[in-house]
Amino acid sequence: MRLARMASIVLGVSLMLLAGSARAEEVRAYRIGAIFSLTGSGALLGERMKTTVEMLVEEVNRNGGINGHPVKLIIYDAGSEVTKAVEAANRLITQDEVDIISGAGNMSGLALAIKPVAARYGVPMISNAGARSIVEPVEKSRWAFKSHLTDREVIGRAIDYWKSKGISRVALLSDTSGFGTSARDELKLQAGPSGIDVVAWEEFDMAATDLTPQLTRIRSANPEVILCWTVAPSGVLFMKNARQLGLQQILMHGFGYVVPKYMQMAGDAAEGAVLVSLRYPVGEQLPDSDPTKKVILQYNAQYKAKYGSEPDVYGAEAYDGLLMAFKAFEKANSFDKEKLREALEHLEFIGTNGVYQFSPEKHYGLTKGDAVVFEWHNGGWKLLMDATTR
Amino acid sequence: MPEFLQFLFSGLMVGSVYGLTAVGFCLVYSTTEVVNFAQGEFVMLGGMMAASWFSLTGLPLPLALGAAVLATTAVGVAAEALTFGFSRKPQVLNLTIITIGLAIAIKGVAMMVWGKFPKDLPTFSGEAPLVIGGARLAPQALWIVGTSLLVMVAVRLFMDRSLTGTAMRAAAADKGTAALMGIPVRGLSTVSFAIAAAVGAVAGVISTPLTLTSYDHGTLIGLKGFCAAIIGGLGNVYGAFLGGIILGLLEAFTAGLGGSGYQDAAAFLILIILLLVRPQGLLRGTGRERIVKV
Amino acid sequence: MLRSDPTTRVSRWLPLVAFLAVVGAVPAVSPNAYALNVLGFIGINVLLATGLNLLMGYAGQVSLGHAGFWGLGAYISGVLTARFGWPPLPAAALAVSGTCLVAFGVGLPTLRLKGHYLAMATLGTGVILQVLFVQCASLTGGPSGLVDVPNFSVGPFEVRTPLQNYYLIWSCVAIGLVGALNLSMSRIGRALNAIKGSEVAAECAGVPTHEYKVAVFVLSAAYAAVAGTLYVHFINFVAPEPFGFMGSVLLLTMVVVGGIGTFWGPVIGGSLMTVLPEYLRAYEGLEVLLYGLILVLVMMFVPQGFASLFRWLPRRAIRGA
Repeated sequence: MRLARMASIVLGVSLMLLAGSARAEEVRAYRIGAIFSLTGSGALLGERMKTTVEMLVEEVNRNGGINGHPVKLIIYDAGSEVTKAVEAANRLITQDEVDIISGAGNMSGLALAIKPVAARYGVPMISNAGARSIVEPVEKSRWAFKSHLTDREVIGRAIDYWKSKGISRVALLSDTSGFGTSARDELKLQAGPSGIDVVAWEEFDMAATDLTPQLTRIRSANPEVILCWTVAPSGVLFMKNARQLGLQQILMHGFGYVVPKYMQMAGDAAEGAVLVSLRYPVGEQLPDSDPTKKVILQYNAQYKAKYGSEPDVYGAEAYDGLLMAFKAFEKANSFDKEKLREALEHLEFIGTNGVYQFSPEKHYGLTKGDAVVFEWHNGGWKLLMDATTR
Repeated sequence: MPEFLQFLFSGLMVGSVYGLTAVGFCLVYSTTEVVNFAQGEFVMLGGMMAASWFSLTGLPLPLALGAAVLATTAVGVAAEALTFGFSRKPQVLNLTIITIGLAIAIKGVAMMVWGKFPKDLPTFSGEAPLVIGGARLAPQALWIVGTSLLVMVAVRLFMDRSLTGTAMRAAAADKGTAALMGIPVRGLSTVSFAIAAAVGAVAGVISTPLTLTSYDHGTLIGLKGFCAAIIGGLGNVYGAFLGGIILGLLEAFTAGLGGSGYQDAAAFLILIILLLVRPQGLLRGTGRERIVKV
Repeated sequence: MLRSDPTTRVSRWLPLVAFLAVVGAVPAVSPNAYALNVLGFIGINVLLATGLNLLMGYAGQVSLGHAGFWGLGAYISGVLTARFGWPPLPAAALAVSGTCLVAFGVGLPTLRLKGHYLAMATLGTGVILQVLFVQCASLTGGPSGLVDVPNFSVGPFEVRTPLQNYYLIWSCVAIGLVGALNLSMSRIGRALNAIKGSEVAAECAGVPTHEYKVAVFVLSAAYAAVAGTLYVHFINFVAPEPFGFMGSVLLLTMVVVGGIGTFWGPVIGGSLMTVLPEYLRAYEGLEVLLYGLILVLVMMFVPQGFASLFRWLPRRAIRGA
């Protein structure tokens, strides 16, 4: 009978609503929401981020929380997809009612999409992705903060490195994601004024299985260095295909590729590959006078003790991002989001990747000097150009 | 000239993988009228299993490859038998969606079992590239193209000459009459899946040394293989392979001539144009139009 | 069933009216912002599924690129309002008409052909549209998407809160459902039914099959475009991912799981497939596998779709294929 069907539909809808409105009663905790890509092309970066933040939250709760409040962590997987990231942000804010979002999508495209959501609801968001437009212009980025360098600094550091080696002809091979296109735009801006001639601008889809056509074109343009910009496995193909084609140029990667397993997978082709990055991966090669070295070693020891394996630079980024949230709670000692935002704007601390200094005009705490350049040599990272900030 | 050859080699290599995947689609479609969306996952499974067993157990490479192909075939058979065999209403559209569900499920299992990191295999005969006319060709590419051609011919001969193959073609032409003639239509569906899975696994093992594989590698390969099958004319094995080659060449030349961002669009644009100009595909298919059901 | 039979007419409309009454009353029961958001997404998916169902169920055609039309509607609305400052209503009008034009261009030549050719052409169209969304970055924002899309507004009335969005979306869904029901009971609906049964026979009976098929294809695209406009103003954002091949497959699945050619199928299918990922999220890691398994099992054991389980539905407009 029609009644039975009507009843079923009403029942179904009501059940859903009940589920949505049910909330457990608990002691008010500081709620931190995190959105990482745990599946999809950004998955490799996301894994250590998740384990790192879980480790930190567990530790802080064991030591009594912050200002006496426990910390509750809610993590969602954005699957490397922008739309899922937006939905996750909506959910964190409207359903889970988080106070701060730390780890707003570990990929630039995702962070850019989450930014307006955070702004609409007035929730501070801390991203560890690279794109500059996440925190600029600062008037439009009241609620957005970055625990990382922007690609402007990284590209700038790469240019420093090229000039230090007398290199002036460069080719760019970037992927078509938000991360790749942002770097492409950045290089377009900076190359000319710095006297760098970009002789080829090639692109590839993250899921590409063969880069020889693009590399063939690059070969004809005769650059001295080939810079690849991606986080996807196709970056391994970049190195292998390049050497197979007989290209002798220096192969470079951006800061999304600091993954030893990728280098190992490329085998001999990865020998001598140069990467621009934050200083965490070469922590042990830093001078003892570098204040971040202590934090790096402590993080490594703590992670290894808990999980039995090594963390990586992406975990370190998440570490710093979460520290930012902790310090904001500590300083503001409030659940008021405007106060938390202000606390973030005046933050200063030493993390695993540098000495952070925020201000109302600058929502990312690091400078170009915090970037280092190293190469993959004999199965490990070898520092080539050190950081200039201490 | 060297650039042209380079693009040609790249296109032929990638195209062979698409072509072999397309042959798999073709097989299942010919026998059951179902588009098997899990075909791409068979390719992924072949590569994944081989890579995983080779590095874990230290099996000699040929054994690892062979085991992977056999295991994938078993997965294909199990998938078909457990789902199609028990369906309450085995209509084409429902079965097609079942294959979609299977594809997703297989991907999910792969993610849990092997993780998210890509895997690779060593090349079969070394890495030193051959230089032909100024362009470089990896020896593995020759393995890919050569093996694909052989498999394609083998499948076609099987369909044309063997009793089972003939029975499959009969079931494709008219299921009802074939059944009346005593042909086990249900069993042939399983056989078609078995062969399609084997063919897909072969495509996976020969390409993984050059392209790497990961748990989500199958989705895109499946889509491209499907398009290749349509371009060639669904139901025609040679056509499916040809469609794959054309697709591969198109991708390589589009990227080679400067439009690397538009690779996918170019391929599908050709698909649409082809549909308007010659909708039955390049080579004649087994003519499965549902013209009239009076 | 004679159209002039008054009891049958009322019996067809009553369930829909009752359903819409429930929909209207829901926010009073639970004004929870999160629930309203979810129900808003359900509404958008129901609209999409209803449009696709018109094509699949009433005209017997399959579209493998339907999500592309959804995206086109969303992007046109989004770009016009976010980049060029158009007011939302004219932008929406252009979004719908533009999408219909594209659908017309694709459908007109391909629907002349028999068999699965529309499916292939729509597959290609969907992928090409998605590539355009990514590549025309100066307009669309490229892979990172288009941000700062304003809320929907008509004159001074702005649709800002989840509650307001809920009513806007479901008003459009209501119109869509009413239209679909009306179509199924009309002469055109019976003509479409005839085409699905046997095209040759329909032609012989004087039904202009080609024109009707194109018309219903364009209509389904119009539904998708409206859904796109609602979507982009709902989340104030749009990115290329949902509009690719997998997105189209998801829409197809909604229709089939709900029950092709039935009236309530799209409603059930749209609701289920929106809510399912929410529940599966708790099973981190197993999520993907479970999703696939559920799909397989539903297709194996409920092949006619869930709508068929309600045996007391008024006689369906179309008998199953």
